[in-house]
Amino acid sequence: MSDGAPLLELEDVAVTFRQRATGAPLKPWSRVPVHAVAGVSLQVGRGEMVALVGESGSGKTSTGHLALRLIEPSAGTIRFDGRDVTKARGRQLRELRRRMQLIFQDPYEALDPRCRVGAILEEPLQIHEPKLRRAARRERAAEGLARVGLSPPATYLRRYPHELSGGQRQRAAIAASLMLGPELVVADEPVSMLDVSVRAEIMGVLGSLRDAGMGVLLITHDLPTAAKYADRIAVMYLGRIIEIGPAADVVDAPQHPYTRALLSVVPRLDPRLRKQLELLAGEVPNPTDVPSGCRFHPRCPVAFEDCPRLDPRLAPVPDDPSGRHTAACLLVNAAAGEPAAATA
Amino acid sequence: MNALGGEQVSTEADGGAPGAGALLRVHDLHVSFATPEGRRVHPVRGVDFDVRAGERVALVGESGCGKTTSVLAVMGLLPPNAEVHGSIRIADTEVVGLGEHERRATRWRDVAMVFQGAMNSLNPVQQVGAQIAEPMTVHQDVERRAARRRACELLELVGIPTARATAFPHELSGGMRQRAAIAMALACDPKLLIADEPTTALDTMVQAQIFELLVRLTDELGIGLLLVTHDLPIVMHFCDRAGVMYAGRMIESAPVDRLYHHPAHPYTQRLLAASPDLHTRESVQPIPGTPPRLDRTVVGCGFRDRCTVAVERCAQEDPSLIHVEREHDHRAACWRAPAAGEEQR
Repeated sequence: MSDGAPLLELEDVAVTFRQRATGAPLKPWSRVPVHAVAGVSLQVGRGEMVALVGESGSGKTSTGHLALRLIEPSAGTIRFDGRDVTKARGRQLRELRRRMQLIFQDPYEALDPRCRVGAILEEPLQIHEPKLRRAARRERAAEGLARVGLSPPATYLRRYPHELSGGQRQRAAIAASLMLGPELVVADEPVSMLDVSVRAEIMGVLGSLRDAGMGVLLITHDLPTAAKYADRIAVMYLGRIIEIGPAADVVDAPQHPYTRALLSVVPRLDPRLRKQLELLAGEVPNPTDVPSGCRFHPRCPVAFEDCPRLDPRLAPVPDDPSGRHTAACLLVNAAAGEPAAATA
Repeated sequence: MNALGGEQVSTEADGGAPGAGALLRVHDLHVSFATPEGRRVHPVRGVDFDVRAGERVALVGESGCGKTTSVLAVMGLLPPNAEVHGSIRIADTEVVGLGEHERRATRWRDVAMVFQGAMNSLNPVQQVGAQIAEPMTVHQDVERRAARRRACELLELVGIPTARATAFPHELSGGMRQRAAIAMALACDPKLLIADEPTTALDTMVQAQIFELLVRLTDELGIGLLLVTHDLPIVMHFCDRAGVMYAGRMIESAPVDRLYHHPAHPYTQRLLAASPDLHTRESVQPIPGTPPRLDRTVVGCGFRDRCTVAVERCAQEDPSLIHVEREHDHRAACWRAPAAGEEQR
């Protein structure tokens, strides 16, 4: 799917924020480091949709923002289209911004309520292509609306955001993100605010972008959506990718105990398939205080004595025909004959 | 408004006296609001459902279908410009038409509610234990010390260590705050618990924990649960029966197994086809179009513009909710759905 250099390549990136600990005084020196992303490597190819899934606090949104260079990585390398853009500044960064775009979760907040849809769509062109004439801009805006299925475009160009339904609004927001012809879009929970009846429409639009050769990084906590639309799924836990592979392999043959637990609590549609949910105790630990060894060991149902000491690396899973399915778990590593992971 | 056929008589006349021993019986509920511009909006236009002790019933539908308005009518919490018609019987007492003073007697004690976003509506400057104790002192004249003791029991019941009773809401995680909100709803031993989207903004794992808790509470305490949600898999997994709402009407009601395997209304069928399932690879289908505007009079079936099997009659007469199968009390409001009488002799 991705030939040559991948469109986006994150190599061992990390980001650390400084945050005031709960209950600590409001002073700069009482801040503690929060390791939101702790060494993530991920590639997104052209014409590929990769889903980042995980609970809140797992670092999936931070990873998306890193990919777009909206936040600075504290370690690691980000390559876009084969070029190192980790240190891109000024003009180079502006040029980069045209080629990558973010689609927001809330279409109600992403559109200026006082602007007509046409004006919202034309604004990026006014900034990045100032020589374009007004009529040409208008035409490009109409094309943009047609691309996301809002037709006839002429009627929607004149409307204000409040005159659109939720699904239409999200389409308009996507159209605005696509105005400059990006090669990569990062969609952060693009359907979680929408009704089921329109979710499939919006995901269909994102699927068509992928089919048109764009790279799509889908950030979601909704596993059925990821399973249905993404080519690959990466599961994050406490700032790390703990399992990644082709969507069907991850969903149907999960290897990491966390992935298995996460999948087991997703209710099935058919009531006859009801089963006891395998609930994990507690919630994702605070990233200011990451457990030693494998970060998942305090909640893991199959942890053994090595887990608090050894930090497992992503390694190929046993019996994987594609060779693209990897997981970071000592048990999986051992079963696949991988050498033991680095000591914590 | 509609010509009732032989089968389309009012539901009470049906065999087995549906709703006998029900905690909550809602029949032909209508809610309308007067807008400041002098118009009327009708978010609820005829809704029927029952909840029995120990039963988990879901109201499912998209935003704007009237599900939250219906349960607010049950709680008696609609704003003063709302007009309510029809019948709401809570523990065999008719509450439509009662004054605010009488309604207060049923609220919390007979029916309690966990509101949408309840975890964010806790008082930030009061300890959670004290907040849980408050409804008891207000509604049941329980002495403060006894109320605090009971609050600790309730915290334990919902899976929060009693030591956290003195915690402030910001010291608890989202899942813990939602558990505290559930404990507060249980404070006056209600017979029926209403939960409106109790897990929005919570993670999958925490969502599962909250629903397991609600299931355990209904089983252990024998209370009824009325769940308001748009999430079909949640309904299918955790509830016994479901009522599907569309444009202010109840359009289908059945046990969840019937609803999944024999959906009778085209809207239910489309809703199921639009919901992704984890392990099936069938593509999901959006439902094109939008629901009708509720500030206009809806003539005929509200779904007909989006329906692929609509006939001429659908544009003229609004179908009423009738049995398509009696044994499981499966009803649908659709001219195209076969009525039980014709189907089975």
